[in-house]
Amino acid sequence: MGDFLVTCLQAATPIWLAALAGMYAQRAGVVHLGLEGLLVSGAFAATATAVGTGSIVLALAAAVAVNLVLSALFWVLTTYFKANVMIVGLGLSLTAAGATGYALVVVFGSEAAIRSPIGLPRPFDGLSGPLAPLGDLSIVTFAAVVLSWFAWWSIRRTRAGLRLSACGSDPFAAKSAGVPVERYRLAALLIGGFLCALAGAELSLAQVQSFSDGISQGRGYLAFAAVLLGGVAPVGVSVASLFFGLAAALGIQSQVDFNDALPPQFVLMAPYVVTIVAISVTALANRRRGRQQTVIMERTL
Amino acid sequence: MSLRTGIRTTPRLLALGALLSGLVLAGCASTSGQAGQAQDAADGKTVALVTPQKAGDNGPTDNLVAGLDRLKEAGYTTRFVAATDPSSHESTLRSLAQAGTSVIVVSFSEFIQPIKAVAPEFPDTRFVHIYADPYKPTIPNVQTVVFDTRAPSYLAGVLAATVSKTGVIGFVGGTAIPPLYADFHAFEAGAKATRSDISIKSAYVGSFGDPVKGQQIAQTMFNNKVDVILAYAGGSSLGVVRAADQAGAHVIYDNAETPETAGSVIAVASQHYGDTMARNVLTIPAGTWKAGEIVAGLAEDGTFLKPAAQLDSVKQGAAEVRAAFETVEDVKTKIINGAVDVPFNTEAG
Repeated sequence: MGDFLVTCLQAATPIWLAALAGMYAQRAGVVHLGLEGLLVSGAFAATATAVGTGSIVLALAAAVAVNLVLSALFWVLTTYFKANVMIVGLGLSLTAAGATGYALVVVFGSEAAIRSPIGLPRPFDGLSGPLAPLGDLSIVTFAAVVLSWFAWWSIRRTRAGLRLSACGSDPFAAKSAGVPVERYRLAALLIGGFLCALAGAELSLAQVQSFSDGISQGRGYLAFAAVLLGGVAPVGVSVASLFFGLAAALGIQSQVDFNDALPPQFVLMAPYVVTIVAISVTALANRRRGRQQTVIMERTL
Repeated sequence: MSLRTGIRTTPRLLALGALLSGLVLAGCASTSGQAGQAQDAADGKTVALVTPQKAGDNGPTDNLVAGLDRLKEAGYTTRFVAATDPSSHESTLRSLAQAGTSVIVVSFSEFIQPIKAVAPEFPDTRFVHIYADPYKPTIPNVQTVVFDTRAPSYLAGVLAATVSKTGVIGFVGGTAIPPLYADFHAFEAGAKATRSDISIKSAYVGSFGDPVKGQQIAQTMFNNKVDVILAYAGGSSLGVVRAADQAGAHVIYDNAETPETAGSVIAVASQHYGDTMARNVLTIPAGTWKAGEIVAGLAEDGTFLKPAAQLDSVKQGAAEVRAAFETVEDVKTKIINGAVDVPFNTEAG
């Protein structure tokens, strides 16, 4: 059971952090389809730096630096050049996927996976007894718990959080009230870049300690789904991400236990079906209660 | 506002696109014209390898390129083309054939349609299609090479069942597709024939490029008493190796060994793409070449199960693995001479 929960958390962590990033962006009124790209770029920057320097601190710093630059670029493109947010987001995801594959060949001379000599630290490694499985979790998983709390606190308990939400729900009113909407959006995107850097590092350096082309495998898009499923709220988004982690771990466990009885395609399909069902159910429930749609597609000034 | 400008600019973009593609097509036509004149070089010994991936994958493509070196030693002029863009496949094959290449080798199913289109136009050029199902009807100048991966899977089952201490072994496949089901059932049959009380778990990653999920699957298996896994998951197999490093378990691996796979990989079950290609091309000067389907299996050394080169780095059980390989070699001989029948079952499992 402990092992199972650990697998849930391992599967959930990258989605969780990326979903928090998407939540900040969407709160500020930016639909963030670039999460997938930021995951890949973070994973590549972290792994390449870890291979080059052997330092986990530098690896994380490099991932954060690269993602802050990309997030700032996202902001410049959508704000100054008024580019469509969806297109820029998708463009970021597709470009990052191609660029990291290319960089792999240019820097390491091979399309094969690169292996890092070090991994993320595991704070509870070496425990014995029932808590022993906790030793398999990387520090980023614990950071995700703290960062979720921080997200809740910053959005629900601070003036800045309220203003940030105003930028998304009604940018015109926010601007009239003197809120620098574009600057808040930049801040939200930069926070998102930082969170995705951690998510990417977790993906490549926590367990497999290697980077291979296309390592994110759509987890960024799953994170985007978690943002919507969680109603763009910090707690909701965290729960939705953990739910995706649970679905992934259940999928694996049921394959291992019942593959002779259940066609594996159904089990592989399950997390996505569950996503569609869950999103539909929440949308219906919200409509019943007469609540407005929480999804803010695009509102520009 | 933005919608309107979008509509207005579209026809212009389209016109520009049409102009550009026109130019490109004109360029193609002129190069193929020149190539046509060079056709009298066709009786020379030239071989071109066209792959849908770039070299440097530390896998099939590199293996095929290495096979090209063997042909160079045999006196062939060799050429390697990585055609990563599917829209260029047909034109690449056509230009090579027009340039008088005597043998064109392509790999993987991406080339089925281009071969069907190009091969009949160049009856003097031989085409060898590595890893493809046979064409129906057969094209007289096309040979397809399939690899019998079931026999090494059976052997892997024998090895895993012999080495396992817990009596539970696992199979991790890349995607849930019939060829991998067949491999799984062969693995199962080999294990059951060796040890009747063996229990076998299977799981599919859903992708050949997701080592993260591969690691999670293997970790779950190792937590459920599995102690040997046959990893048939391509790029995802690296994750299986990482989980085995953690759990101190054993892996039968499907890629080329690297320093990173030392420690838990006890054996490699894979294909000799390059050698098989070289052998089949060399049947052309020998006069034994034939069109249609060629099966490369254990007997031809097209597919194999062999102990890991870095077996000594395995923390425990290296000696047992070596001992188990005596049984494996026995069974291998029996498979080749037909005494052992490897099942062919593509049911999900």
